[in-house]
Amino acid sequence: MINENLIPLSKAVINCKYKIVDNPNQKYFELGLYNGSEINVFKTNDRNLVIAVGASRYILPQKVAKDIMVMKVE
Amino acid sequence: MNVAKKNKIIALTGNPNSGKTTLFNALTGTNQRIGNWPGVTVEKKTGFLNTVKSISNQQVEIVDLPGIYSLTSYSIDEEIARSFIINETPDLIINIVDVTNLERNLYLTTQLLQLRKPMIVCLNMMDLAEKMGTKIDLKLFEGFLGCPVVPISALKKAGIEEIKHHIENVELPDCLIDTKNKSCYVSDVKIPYDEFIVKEIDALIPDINGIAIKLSLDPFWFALKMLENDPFVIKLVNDFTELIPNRQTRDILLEKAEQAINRLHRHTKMQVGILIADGRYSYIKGICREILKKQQTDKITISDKIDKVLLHPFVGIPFFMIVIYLKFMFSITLSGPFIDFIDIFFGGLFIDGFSVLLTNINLPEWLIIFLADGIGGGITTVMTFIPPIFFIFLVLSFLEESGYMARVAFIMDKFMHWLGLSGKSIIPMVVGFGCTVPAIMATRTLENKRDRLMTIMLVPFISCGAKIPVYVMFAMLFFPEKAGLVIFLLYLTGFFLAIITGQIIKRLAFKGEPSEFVMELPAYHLPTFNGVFLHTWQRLKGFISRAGKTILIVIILLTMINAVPIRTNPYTGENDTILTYVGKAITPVFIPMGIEKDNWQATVSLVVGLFAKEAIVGSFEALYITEIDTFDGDWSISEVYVEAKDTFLEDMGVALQSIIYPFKSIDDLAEEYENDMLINQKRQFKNIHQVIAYLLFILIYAPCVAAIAVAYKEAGRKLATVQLVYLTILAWIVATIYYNIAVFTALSIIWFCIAGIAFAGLLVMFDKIKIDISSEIKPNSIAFPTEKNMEE
Repeated sequence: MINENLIPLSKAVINCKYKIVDNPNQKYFELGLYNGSEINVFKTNDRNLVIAVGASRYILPQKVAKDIMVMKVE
Repeated sequence: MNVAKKNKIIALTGNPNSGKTTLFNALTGTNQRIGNWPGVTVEKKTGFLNTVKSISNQQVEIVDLPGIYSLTSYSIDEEIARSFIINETPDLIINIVDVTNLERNLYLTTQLLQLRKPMIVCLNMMDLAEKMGTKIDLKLFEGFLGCPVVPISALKKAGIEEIKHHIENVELPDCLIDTKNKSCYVSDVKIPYDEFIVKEIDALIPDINGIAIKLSLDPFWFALKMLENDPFVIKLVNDFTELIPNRQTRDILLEKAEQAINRLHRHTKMQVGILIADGRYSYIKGICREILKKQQTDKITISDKIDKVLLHPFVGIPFFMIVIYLKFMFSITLSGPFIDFIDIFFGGLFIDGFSVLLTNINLPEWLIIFLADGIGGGITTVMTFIPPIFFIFLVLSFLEESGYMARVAFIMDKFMHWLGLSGKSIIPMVVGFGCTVPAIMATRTLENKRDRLMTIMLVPFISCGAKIPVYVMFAMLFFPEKAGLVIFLLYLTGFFLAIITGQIIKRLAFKGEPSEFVMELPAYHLPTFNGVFLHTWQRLKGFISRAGKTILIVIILLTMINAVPIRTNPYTGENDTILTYVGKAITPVFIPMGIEKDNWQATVSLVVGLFAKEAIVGSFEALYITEIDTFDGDWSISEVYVEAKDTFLEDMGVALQSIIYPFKSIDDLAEEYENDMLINQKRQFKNIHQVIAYLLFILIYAPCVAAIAVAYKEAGRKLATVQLVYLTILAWIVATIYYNIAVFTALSIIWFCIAGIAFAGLLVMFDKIKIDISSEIKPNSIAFPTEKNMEE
C-alpha cells in the first residue's frame, strides 16, 4: 500500500515537495535528512541534486539519493 | 593571596558557517578570516578574551574550532573539532547555533549536552530570525536544554557582554551554577531514546564506567557511542591497555557492545546509529514546537531564485569562467594607473629624493647607490605590486563573502570527477588563487584520503598571489598591450596542466573513484563593504609584510653577495662573484628552454624563488642593475607629485576605456613601466619565446618552501617529495618543448627526445610509487588520546 507511493529521492521531480520515509545513511540523517522531514529538489544533474530541507540547502550525490526513499507530499 | 591559575579554556563549536569565527573575533578582538561557505576554518585557532577585567587572575583562552554537524566525524577538520571537545576538556563549551536553521543546529547541541560538560548555547543571527518573523521563548528553551541560552548577533557584536559574564561565572569544579540566573552550566537533560536503547545502555554502563570516568567522559554518552559503533570510541577501548590491561577483557567488552547492537537491530529493524539520531531529532522537534512562537517555514528564498540561474548547466560554467576572467581583467587593467602613480611618485621619493638627500650629506657613492637604488628601489618595487594583488584579493574576498564559492563545487563537479576528483576539491583550488598554503590546508574538509592527496598534488598548478608580481613585471614589460590577457592565459595553462596531471595520476598513483560529497549551500549574502575590505586588507597586509621583507632581504643579500668577487675569470677577465659562479654553473640546465649562457641572473632568480615566489622580483631588482646613475638634477616633491597625478589620471581614463571596450589596446598603460632594471632585463631576454618559456617554468616549478612544508605536514614526506620532483621536471619539460617548437632548430629534436625521456621517467615514478590511500591520515595537529597524554 505504502510502497506504491515510495520513490528514490534520485527520481524526485524538481520543485515538488517530498517527505523522507527511509534514509539508511547515518551521516545524511544527522544532517537533517531524517525520516519524516520534508524535502524539495531544486536542481539535478547526472551526478548531484540540490535539495532544500528546512532552511538548509545541500548538494547531494545521486548515488546517495538512490538509497533515500521519499513520498510525495500533496 | 593572588595565585595565578592555569588558563581558562573556552571552546567555540557549532555547525559550519554558523558564525563561530565571527564570534571568536568579537570575543578576542582579532580579525581571523571568515567567509560565507562551510569549511573556512580547518584548524583550531586560539586567542585571548578581549576584556579589561582580569578574571580571577586567569587568562581566558578562546579556541575557535572547525564546524561540525555532529560528534561523529567524517573529515580531518571535523576530527580536530571533536577531538578537542572530547580530549581537551575545555572549561566551557560555547555552542553557536544558527537560529535561522534551528532544528539542524540543535542536533549537535543535543550531543554536546550529553557530554555533561559546562556549556552555554548562543543563538546567533537572532536579528535575522526576528526579521523572518521567528520568535523564541528563551526561558522555556533554557529549561529544555538545561543550560544558559544567550541570544546574540556575532556580526553586530550584540550579546557579547552576556557571554563574557558567563565565561567569568563558570568555574570548575566547585561552581557550576550561573549565579545571576541560577541556571546550571552542566545540563542534566535526558533525551527520551527508544526504551530498548536505554536498556542496553544501562547494561553496558557498569562495564565502561571506569574507562569513561578515567577519560573524563560521561558513561551514558560513552555507551551511546559504543552502540553507534563509533570508530573513535572503539579505538579508545582497544588502545587503553592501562585501563583494561587484559586483552580478553577488552574483547569481551567490545563483544558485549556488538551483541547489544545486534539485539537492537533485531528488535527495531533499524540501524542503531539511525535509531539514536531519530531519538534526538524527535526530541528536537518537540522542543521547537514548544519554544517557537512562530514556526519556521520553508519558502523559496532569493538565494534559491539566484541558484535557479547560476546552477543551470548552460549558465553555471560560462558564468564561473567569466567571473575568473573578469577577476584578472579588472585586477590588471585597473591596477595599471596605480602602478604608474606609485612608480613615479614613490620612485621619485625613495630613489631620486633619497639619493639627493644622501648626496647632500656627503655619503660615499657606493652607499648612496646601495641605500637609494637598492633599498629605495626595493621598497618602490614592492609597492608597485600592491595594486594588482589588492584587486585580486578584493575579488576573491567578494566571492567568499557572497556564498558563491560553495556553488562552484556543484557547477564544477562533473568536470572535477572527470579529472579524478570530487567537486568539493575545487574549493581548495579557488583558495589557491590567494596562497597555496591555506589551499593545502583547505583539503582537510575532503573526507576521502585519495581526494585529499590528489588535490594537494594539483593545487600548486593554480598560480598563487605571490606569482602575480612576477607575471605583472614580465607581462607589462614584454606584452604591454595584452598584459591582462597574458596573465589570464598563464592561469589557464596552469589549469590545463592540472587536468593533464590529474588524468595521469588518477590512472597511475591514485587509482580508484573520487568520493561522493555532500555540501551545504549557504544563503547568498550581499558582501558588506567593511567585510570585503577588512578581509582584503588582512590578506594584503600579510602580502606586504611577507613580500616586503622577502624582497628587501633578497635585494640586500644579493647586492652584498654580488659585490664581493671570489675570482677573476681567466677567459673574460671579469670578476666573478659567488652568484655569477653558481648562476653560470646552473644555467646550462636551462639553455634548452631558451635561457642564454650570460643570463645567469634568470637562473639565480629561479633558485631564490624557491624560498618565496615574490622574491624572484627582488632578485631581478638586485641582479639586473648593472649601471646606476645617481640622481643629480633638481628634485622637487611637488613636481614628482604633479607628474604622478597627471599620469594616473591619464592612465585611469585609458583603463576605464579598456574595461568598457575590452579589445582596445592599452599600450599607454605600460609605457611608463620601464626602468634601468627592466631595460637590462629586456636586453637579457632576446625574444618573447624565451620570456614565455621562462614564465611557463615559473608557473609550474616547485612551490615555495612554506607550501612544501605544509604538503609534507599534511600529506607526508613521500608525496611532498614526489610533488617537488614532478613539478620541477615538468616545468623544465613544458618550457623546453614550448621554446623548441617556437624556435625550431636541428638541436630541438634532441631536446624533444630528452624531454620525452624525462616525461616517461615521471610516468614510471607515478606507476612505481606506492602512496597509501587506504586509511585516513592524521595531521600532527590532531591529538588522539594516548595513555601518556591522559596521564599528563
